[in-house]
Amino acid sequence: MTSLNLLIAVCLAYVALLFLVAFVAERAGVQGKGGWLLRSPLVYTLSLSIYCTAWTFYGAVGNAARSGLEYVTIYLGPSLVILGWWWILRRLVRIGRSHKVTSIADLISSRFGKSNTLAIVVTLMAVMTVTPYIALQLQSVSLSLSIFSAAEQSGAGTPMDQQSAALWIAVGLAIFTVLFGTRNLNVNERHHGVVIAVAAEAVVKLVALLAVGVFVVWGIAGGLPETMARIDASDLGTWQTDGSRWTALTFLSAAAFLCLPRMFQVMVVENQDEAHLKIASWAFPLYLFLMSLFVVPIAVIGLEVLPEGSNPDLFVLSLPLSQGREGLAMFSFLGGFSSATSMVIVATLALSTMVSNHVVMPVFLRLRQGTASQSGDVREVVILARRLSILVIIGLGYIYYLASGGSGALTAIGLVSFAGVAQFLPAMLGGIFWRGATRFGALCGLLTGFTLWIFTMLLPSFGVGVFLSVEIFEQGLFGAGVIRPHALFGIEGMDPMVHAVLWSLLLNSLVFAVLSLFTFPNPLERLQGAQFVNVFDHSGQSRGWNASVAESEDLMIMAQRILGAEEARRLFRSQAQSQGLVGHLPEPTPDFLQKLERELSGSVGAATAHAMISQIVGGSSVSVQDLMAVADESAQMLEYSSQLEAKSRELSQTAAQLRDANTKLMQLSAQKDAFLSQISHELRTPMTSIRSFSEILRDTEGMGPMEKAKYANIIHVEAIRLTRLLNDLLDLSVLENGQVTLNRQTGTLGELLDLSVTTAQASVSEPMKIHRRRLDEAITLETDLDRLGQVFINLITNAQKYCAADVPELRIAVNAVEDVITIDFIDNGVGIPKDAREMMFEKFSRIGAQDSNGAGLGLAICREIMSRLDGDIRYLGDVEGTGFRVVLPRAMAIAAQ
Amino acid sequence: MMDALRLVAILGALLWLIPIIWPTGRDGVTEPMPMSAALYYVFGVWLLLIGLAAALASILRGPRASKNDAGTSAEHDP
Repeated sequence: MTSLNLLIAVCLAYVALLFLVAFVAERAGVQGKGGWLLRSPLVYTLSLSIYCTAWTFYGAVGNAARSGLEYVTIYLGPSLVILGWWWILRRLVRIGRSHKVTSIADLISSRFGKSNTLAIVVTLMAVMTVTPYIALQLQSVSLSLSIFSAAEQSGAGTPMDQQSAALWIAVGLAIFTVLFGTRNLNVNERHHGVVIAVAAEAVVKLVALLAVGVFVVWGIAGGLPETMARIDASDLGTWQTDGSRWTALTFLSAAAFLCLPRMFQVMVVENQDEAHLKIASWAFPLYLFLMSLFVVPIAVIGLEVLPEGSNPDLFVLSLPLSQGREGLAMFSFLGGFSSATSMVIVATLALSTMVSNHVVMPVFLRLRQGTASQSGDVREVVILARRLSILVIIGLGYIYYLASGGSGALTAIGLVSFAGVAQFLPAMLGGIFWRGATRFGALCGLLTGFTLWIFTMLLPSFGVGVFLSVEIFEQGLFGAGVIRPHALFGIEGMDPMVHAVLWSLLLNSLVFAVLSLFTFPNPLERLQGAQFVNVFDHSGQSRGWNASVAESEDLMIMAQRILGAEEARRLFRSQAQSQGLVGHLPEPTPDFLQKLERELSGSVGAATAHAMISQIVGGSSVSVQDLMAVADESAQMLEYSSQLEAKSRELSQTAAQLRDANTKLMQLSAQKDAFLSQISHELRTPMTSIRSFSEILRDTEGMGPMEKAKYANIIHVEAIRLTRLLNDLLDLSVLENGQVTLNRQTGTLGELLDLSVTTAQASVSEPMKIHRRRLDEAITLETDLDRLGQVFINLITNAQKYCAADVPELRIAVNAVEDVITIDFIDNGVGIPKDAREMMFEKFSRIGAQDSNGAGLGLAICREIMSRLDGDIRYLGDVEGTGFRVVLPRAMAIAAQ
Repeated sequence: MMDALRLVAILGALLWLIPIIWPTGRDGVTEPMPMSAALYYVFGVWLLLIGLAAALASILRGPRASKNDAGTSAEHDP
């Protein structure tokens, strides 16, 4: 018993040493000293070694003794993951740092829209999968103690009470974890003490295993070549590993390396510097290499040297013991003890963070809803929750250990746990690489994988007939042959482990992917998804606050309760300074609120921190839903304003039209004025001469009859001219007002032209020569012939008056084209100058000075008449001489033909 | 160099997958692979990968490390 007592004493001393190391490191961390050590990549690499638990320390040899080189896969997977750090780990660490992720549950829930449901599911799954693992550590330590007691007593007396030993270990670990794990609340400040202790333990377990290995190879076997020869000669001498198990285990261990909560804790949460990954990328594989180097030799020599029936899981201890090397055995025991304790501490720490952040705190906050700033000291509550979680988790591990009766090979339990946490892999990788992944998909995938894991791996691991009856194994669940734990879908013959891993992960991924494709992420999810997937593009902010109304005091009070008074004050002061303010309270700018939320999320998790800030910031906090509402509103406003724009465009168009109309009116008015002055001038001229001559007639005495006749004749001519002018004006106004009534008659064009020519030339002494083609003129018309004749007369008269040729001639050409009849009047004069052509159809327009006795109304009247008759009159610019064309619609002729 | 870094893991995975095609001797025709050879192979590959990773890490050290260290180590170094 002395040895056992000594062992316990050594254990206690070792634990005391660990406490001391952790304490000093914690102290140094608080004082800011020893940064070089805490921040060295070496410590980071060594802390990663909590991957190597008692399971690998003891179980690897046991595994090797049972199935040869298969054990090495457990190390190959993690080696590959960290060798390929550029792919996944770098991204994980960056996301973890930029989003202040506190655990794997936090990561998954943050990515999928800070969903608390998802966080709770992941947390519960993690507790379920890790608890057996913790039990495994307790079991391995108590088992290793029993070896010593058995060796001591050599079968006599009562065996050591393993259960009470396990209980003491559990209690000790719980105390250590509570002391160093919940010392400071802010997870981002990291657990220097724990990390340093873990690193120290990593050195102890590596050196211990190497020492045993060296002793076995060079002490017992007698050198490397001899060892190799003995290996080849032993039962394990050939390659017997099943390919599917080799592959599946390598993959599984790689997945577990990424997904185990404790690995996530040391790898991502405790990471000080991304650059450490680079060193760890080769240093950690080296560590694993050394850890597994001597496993096969120890197993082979153990099988050879030790008596039949020895537990191969404890060869690491029993080999030195059997050779009388108690000191080495004790060292080796310390190595195993280190592996177990460090794993339990970190795993419990990680789990308790998850439990308190995602289960306890949300419940607590919900119970005290709306009072985040007024409630009691939240900081105390968080710490209490975390401590209780630690106790509960270690307690669960102990209960599991008691329940399982310390049975089963270590490897089996470890693999069950691995396969359980591996279910996080699809959601995690999908979350950080695929923007389309949705919360619903992740949730359903996780639940699917987890259910399958329970059914095909966890429950069967307790043995046939414990939880699942023999019938279920043979007939399937509810008698359905396709649902058998070891032969899902009726596919038999697979290794049960490979079967479980394959189906659970396959269906997990499938459900995750398919449901993600068919569901639509909510806005917050999309935002987070983009930030996670594109973390290298902008390792920036998670989301914006708009808190113009938020009270800085309230924020301060809340922050004090969570971060601690000093810490909170420091944060606020530095923020106030950076904003250029004098006091302690910064303006609640979005930047500041974002920073505060991150700080808080380090303590209470992202979702909780967000909830707390939004409680204080209250109505002015902008949730994404609010943002969407705002976006909707602004879209409506945009719509409205575009309508307004359209209307104002319409208005301005109307205004332009009005302006045009106004201009036209002005022109018309000017035209009217011009017309009036013109007409008064036209009227005054004959009136003046009539008046003058009548005055002469009245006042002149002794006027001869010749003279009287002459003057009376002048008065008569002027009066006729006046009458004609008035007639023309009347005519024009009637025509313009549309009051004219057309007097429809029937007659031929030829007769009408005859009549017109005769009339026009009646009062002329030397009639001009007129050329016509009678044949063309045989067209019967039904129209107002008098009016048409008036047009013709006017044109002929004009030609007669103004043709400047020596021998004036007029050609009247009639053409019947398609639907119109044209009648051209072309003389052999000089034509009308270009600039006068536009004006000649206007009233009172006269061309040149030659027209002294016309009023300038003839062509205007012609145009009015033609437009009444649905025809047209225009000047022909492309002929020699002056030419006018009268156009008549053919319809007038058709009726008569 | 980033690509080389990425490829290390793939190379490792391929090399470590080769054992699944080794003869186990169960068919009674082929000679099973001796354990010593298997050990040499698996651990040899391991050392190779570690060496590669270390070499790449030291090559990468130059520009990136200075950028990363700027933010973190400056605060606490005495």
